[in-house]
Amino acid sequence: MEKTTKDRIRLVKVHKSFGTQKVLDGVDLSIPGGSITVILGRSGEGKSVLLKHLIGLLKADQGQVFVDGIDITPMGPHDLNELRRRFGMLFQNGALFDSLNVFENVAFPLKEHSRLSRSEIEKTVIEKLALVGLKDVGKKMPAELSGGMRKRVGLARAIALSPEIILYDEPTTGLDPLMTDSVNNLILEMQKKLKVTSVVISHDIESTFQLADKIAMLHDGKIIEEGPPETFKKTQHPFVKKFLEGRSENEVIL
Amino acid sequence: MDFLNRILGAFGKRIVRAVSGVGDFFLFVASAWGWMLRPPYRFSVLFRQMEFIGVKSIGIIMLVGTFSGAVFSLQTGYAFGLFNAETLVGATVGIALARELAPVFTGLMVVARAGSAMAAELGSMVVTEQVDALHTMAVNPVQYLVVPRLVAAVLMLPLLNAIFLAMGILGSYFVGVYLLNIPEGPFMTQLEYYLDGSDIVQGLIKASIFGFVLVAISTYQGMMTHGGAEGVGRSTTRAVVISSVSILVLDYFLTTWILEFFPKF
Repeated sequence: MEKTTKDRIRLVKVHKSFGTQKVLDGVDLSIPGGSITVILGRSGEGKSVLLKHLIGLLKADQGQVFVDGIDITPMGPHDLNELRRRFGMLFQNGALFDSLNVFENVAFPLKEHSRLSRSEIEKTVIEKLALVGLKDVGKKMPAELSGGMRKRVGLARAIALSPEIILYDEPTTGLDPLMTDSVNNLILEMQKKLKVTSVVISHDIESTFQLADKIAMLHDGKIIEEGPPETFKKTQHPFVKKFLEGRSENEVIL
Repeated sequence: MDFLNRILGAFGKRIVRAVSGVGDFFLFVASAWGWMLRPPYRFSVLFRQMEFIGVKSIGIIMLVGTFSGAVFSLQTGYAFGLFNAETLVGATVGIALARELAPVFTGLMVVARAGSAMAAELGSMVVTEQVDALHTMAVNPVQYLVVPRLVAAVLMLPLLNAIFLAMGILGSYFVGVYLLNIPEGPFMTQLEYYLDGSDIVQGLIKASIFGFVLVAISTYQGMMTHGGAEGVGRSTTRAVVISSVSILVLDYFLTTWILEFFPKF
């Protein structure tokens, strides 16, 4: 089994198809610990699919996914559950449980996986909500929240158990510029305060350069370019250049 | 030849899909059994489901029960009147309700009320990634979402069945005694004479099994949802149709089986 020291997560030749549609076609990627890695790509390129492989929500048809040097692809449900406790994931629309209020949503992982008392859980929930800049919303139901607030609550829930790795699925999609900025600051702040490893999926170039310690570009099922932002900017790859400049050259790309 | 090939191919594909669908369903049920026995046992979730499936269905079950008993009484009353056997109306309606009508109608009403809601709720949880979120929080969705609903239905359906039966007999009594003027004494004596505990017990067993089946089908349809709001609609429709048909078909086979164990006449 291969061991890596610096990289927390490493994908080796990951393939995934849905029916006849090939989504990932040999993805090789390493995600260094303690920093923010942004995976860029056009909508529908399979970025979320890639992210779901990191936490075992989807299984690769071929290839391996190493987390802290251990291949997670052959893991059964029990080992995966153990693995997932190291992760927190923020879904695109928050994925809050709509039958539970905000407080219960954030308390959910704590009730399931910690032995904290009721008052300790309450304290932790308030603390996590404060960390994402929310207070006095505990009694609200998810349906009463705006998109930005839902993402914040989703983030509070994701960090409830103080995970080591946080996955963000399009954290700024569908938000106005001010909210986008505040969510980006939130991600940076999480990074600084909690010293976690973050993986962000995005197609928003501005946010990417604001956040990333490392950028990887997913196109046609492969990582076509990766590196720190400074070198990524100077890429010679024609597609990446086009993407960064936002040119479609009148091609109709579907 | 090519044309024939294509027809046969398409036909074969449908059969394969149907068979593998049934296989997936049974694997789903098996995994639910497995998760049922494993801790943690989430009693608060179970009680909430018992309230939803059981307590909140009581009103409609009482209403439907009363009128089923009443109309059945009305029909048999006129028919039995042809050969002066009106006093048997109570017994006939009682046995029919206890053995067949109460469990089947209770099952169908719960499908309409709770099965559809389950498929829709679980379906929207799937399409809004709430089920994925459960996975990422290391909580098994079958254990958290399906098991409490299954257990709640198995426990509550017999209770609803009993209420249906009681209200049905009450409805039958009112129509028989007050509307058709069947003398109360013989009506009740015949009812007590012919309606056994075993009739009631087999109804309760049936109701419990119907509860399991309808929740298994509805939650399976919910969990298999894909394709947004349209997918949720499709799952809900399927849940209701497949559950209802399954209850009616299963009822026949359960009855043949039960008649072996509880021979009546």
